[in-house]
Amino acid sequence: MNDPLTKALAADQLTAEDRQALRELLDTEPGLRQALARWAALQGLIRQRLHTAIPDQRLLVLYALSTSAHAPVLSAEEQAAAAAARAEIEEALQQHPGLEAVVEDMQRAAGTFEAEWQAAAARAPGEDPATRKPASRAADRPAQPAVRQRRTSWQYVGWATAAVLVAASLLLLWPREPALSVAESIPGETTTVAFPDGSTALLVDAARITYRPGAPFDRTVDAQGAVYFTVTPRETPFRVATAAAEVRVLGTAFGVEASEEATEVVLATGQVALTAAGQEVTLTAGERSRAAVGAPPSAPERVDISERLAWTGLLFFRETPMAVVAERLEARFGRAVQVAPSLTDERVSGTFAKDASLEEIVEALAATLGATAATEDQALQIKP
Amino acid sequence: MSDPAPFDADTVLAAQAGDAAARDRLLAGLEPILRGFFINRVGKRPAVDDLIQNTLLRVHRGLNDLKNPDRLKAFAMKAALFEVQDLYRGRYGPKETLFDPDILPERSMDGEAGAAVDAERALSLLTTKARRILELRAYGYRYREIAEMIDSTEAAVKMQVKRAFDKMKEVLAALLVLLLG
Repeated sequence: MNDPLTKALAADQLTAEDRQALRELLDTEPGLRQALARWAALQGLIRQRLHTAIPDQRLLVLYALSTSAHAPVLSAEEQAAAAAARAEIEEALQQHPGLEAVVEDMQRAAGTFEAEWQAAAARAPGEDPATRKPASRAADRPAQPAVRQRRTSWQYVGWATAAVLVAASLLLLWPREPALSVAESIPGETTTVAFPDGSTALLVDAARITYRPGAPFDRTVDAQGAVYFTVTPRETPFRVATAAAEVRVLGTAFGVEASEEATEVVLATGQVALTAAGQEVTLTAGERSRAAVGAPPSAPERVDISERLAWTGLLFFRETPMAVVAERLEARFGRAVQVAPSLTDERVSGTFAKDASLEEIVEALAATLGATAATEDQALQIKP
Repeated sequence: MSDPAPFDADTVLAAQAGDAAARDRLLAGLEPILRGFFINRVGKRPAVDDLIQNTLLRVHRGLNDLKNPDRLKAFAMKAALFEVQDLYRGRYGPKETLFDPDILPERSMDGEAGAAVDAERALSLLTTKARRILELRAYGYRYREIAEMIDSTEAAVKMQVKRAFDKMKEVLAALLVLLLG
């Protein structure tokens, strides 16, 4: 269970040492590298199929409750929604054994909540319950005593309420207002900021962002200069406010160039809404829009994102033919990249870090294509 | 059993009417219940604080939509369950994939019929148990959680994954060509 391959397949997270061990193993077994790439592709496909089967996970929650002893917690509207979705969900459950287990887990979770509620009701007023050890799912079938960490409870409620009060401009009424964080990049350099929700911002060449990191992070960031955001999908939209516009997203990657006069947004993946002067446009992957201060955003136009986002230092391919990929790699690295004729029309998508080596990129592309990477006379080759 | 204080209908109504103190009492009362619930679900992790806070925000924001003040428990329970679902959904995003995150979702949404057929063939090689594990992982559960859900051990679950990988290597070779075609 400790070999690098098993860890790669089954670890929740790989350590740097695990990655190095895996890299060394794959260097000696190129066939294994391909197999892992295919495995990753299948994982993505399974995820996509689950999403297609149950596009709205809330309905699965309602279904799980409606088919359990907890059905009375549903409102009339929720019962109707669960009933309307029932046939479709049950078909999905038949096709996906994992979803069946998810429904059972949701029902157990409802039981856990009920037990916590009842434990709170049974507790004497003023009682100071001891902190509980983490419980397992297997243990949550019978009722559990509720855990208490009362010394922190007000703090969390304070944070939660504060976030809403900020939105309502009632700052003065709440003394625990979280402090603002400011991040800046030095001219000519880049800085990466990781937000509490897992999203990141790459600040390029004297860019600046301001946000409130406090709990909960409200996913709202003020930005100036050139910033590339990679947003973790969450229910709450992620907002980037500039002098001229606001960008609203749920989960995607995009570049913002914001000055005092105008804001330009170029979208790498997903979808964003850009609002300025009371008007909104929606951008899809590969589109750009610009908003001058006081003016509405321009109509989205398709652009070459590798060119428009060149300032990020990242290397973008979106459905790009391998022949073009090879040309770009040659231009960037100054070395020959040869693609076998049978592969030149294959299209690939990918985003590579600015410090990725040519060898790493070529190997990744070859693995994605199910091809082989080789080096001959300083030229990198990709062949079937 | 009656609702624990301070979740009586009068307090809920007062909070809905804008009484900040009543609202704070409700949220403060919910916090330890949510803490117990989320620790039970995910263990004592830093994520528990985020889950609690997000759930309290859901309750706070939706409180005025609660038509029956006696149903705060149901309301909070659903908020907590939705929050757990969001946690799973956000765990294994595109950043986890070995290669480009965009290829597979975008292409499979385009209706790659050949790839779909081949994926079915690959998946059909698996036992129901192995398929359940892979689907639960794709849904967002950790292996430790999957083990508890199917009454197994984490090591046994991981061994199933390894066996599935070994079993599917050959079929997967054909699958990727179709996905990228």
